[in-house]
Amino acid sequence: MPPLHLISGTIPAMIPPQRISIPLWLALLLKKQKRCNIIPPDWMAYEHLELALKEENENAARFTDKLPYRWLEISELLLDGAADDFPQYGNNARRGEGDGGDIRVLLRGLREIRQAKARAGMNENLGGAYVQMTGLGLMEVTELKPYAISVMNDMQKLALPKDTRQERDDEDMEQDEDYDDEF
Amino acid sequence: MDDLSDILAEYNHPPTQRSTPESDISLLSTLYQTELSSPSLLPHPSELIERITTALSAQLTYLETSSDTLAAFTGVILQTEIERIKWLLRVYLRVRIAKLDKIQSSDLPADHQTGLWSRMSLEEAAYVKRHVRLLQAHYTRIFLRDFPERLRCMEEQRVGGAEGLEELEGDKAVVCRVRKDVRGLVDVGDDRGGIRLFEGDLVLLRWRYVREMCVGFVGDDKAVVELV
Repeated sequence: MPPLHLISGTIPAMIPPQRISIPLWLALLLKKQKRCNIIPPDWMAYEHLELALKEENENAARFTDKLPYRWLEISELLLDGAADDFPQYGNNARRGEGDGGDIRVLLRGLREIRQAKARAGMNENLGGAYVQMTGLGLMEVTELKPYAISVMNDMQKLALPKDTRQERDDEDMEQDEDYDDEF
Repeated sequence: MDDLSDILAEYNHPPTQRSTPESDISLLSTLYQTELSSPSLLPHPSELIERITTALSAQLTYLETSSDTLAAFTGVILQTEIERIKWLLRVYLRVRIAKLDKIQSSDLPADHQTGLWSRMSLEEAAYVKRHVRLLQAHYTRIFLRDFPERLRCMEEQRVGGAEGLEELEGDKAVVCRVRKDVRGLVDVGDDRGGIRLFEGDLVLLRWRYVREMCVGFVGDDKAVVELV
C-alpha cells in the first residue's frame, strides 16, 4: 500500500508482513477489510493481565500501574475488532480457540475489583477538599465523575458561604459592643 | 523502482498536507474534553481551529483532484479521517455553543475586549450578541412591559460583577489530569497547605485551584493540567 497522506501526518508505505505502528482507528479499519493483522499490546498479554489482577487483589489501597490510561476502551475495541489476533491461552488453546476469551475474563475481573475499590475510596474521601483518583482509567473516571462532582458541589452548598459567615461575625461583634455599653 | 516512485510521489505532494502535525488534532481533542468538563468558557483557540480547517479543506481538494490516481480504499481511509476530524470540530463547537446559550446579559462586561468577550471568537461574540438581544426582546414582549419602568432593566450586574461569576464557577468540582510534575505544593483548599502533583495523577478538586494552569487558559506547552 502506498504512503498515506493523512491530515494528522503521513504514514509510510505499508508492506506486509512488515510491522508498523499506525493509529488505532486506522488499524481497525484495515482489519475490518482483512488487510492487516493487529499485534496486541504487551499489556494485554495473558500473563501481564494475570499479574495486574493479582496486584489489584493484594493491594486494597491503590490501583495497579500495569494498565494504561485508556485500558478499558482499547481492550474493548481490540477484542471487538481483532479477537482472532490474540494468541491462544489456557483452556481456549486446548480447545483450539484464539478468540481472546480468557483475556476477556481477566479484564472483567480487573474491572470489577477496580470498580469496587474506587467506590469504597470515593465514599471515604468525598468530604474533603480534594480526592485522589490516580491510577484509574479514563472510562472509569468518567463513570464515577457525575456522582463525585455532584456530591462535592452539594457539600459546597452545605458549607456556609464566606460572606454570610463574615456578616454573622460582624453582627455578633456589634451585639457584644451594645452589651458593653450598658455597663 | 517502486521505492523511487514513492519518494517522488512524496516529493510532489503539496506541503500543506503535512503542515498540520498530529499534535493539532490531539490538542483539539484535549481542548474538547476540557471544555466539556470546565465550568468556565475557555478562550477560543482561533489559530488552532484555523489551521485545522485549512488542513481539512486542503485534504478535501487533494481527494477531489486525485480521485483517479488514488486506490478506492485509500480514498476511503482519507475520507474516514476527514469525517473523524470534522466530528471532533463539530462536538467541540457544540459544547461551546451550549455554554454561550447560558450566558446572560448581566455576565457580559460593557467593554467588548474584556471578560467573557475576550474568550470568544468573532462569530461566537456575534452569536451571543444576537442571542441576548433576542431574549431581551422576548422577555419584554412576554412580561417585562407589564412591569413598572424601574423594574424593566435587564442589565443589572450580578452580585460581585464578572468576578462574582468566576467565584461561582471556581467553586465547582472538576476532575483534572496532571500533564507534568509540579515542583512544590499546590494549594487545593485543604488545611494542610496543599498537595503534590505528579504527571498522570488524577485529582478531583475545585476548579479555582487549577484554572490558572489548565490547558486552554495557558498554552499547550505550559499547561500543567487538563480536565477529564
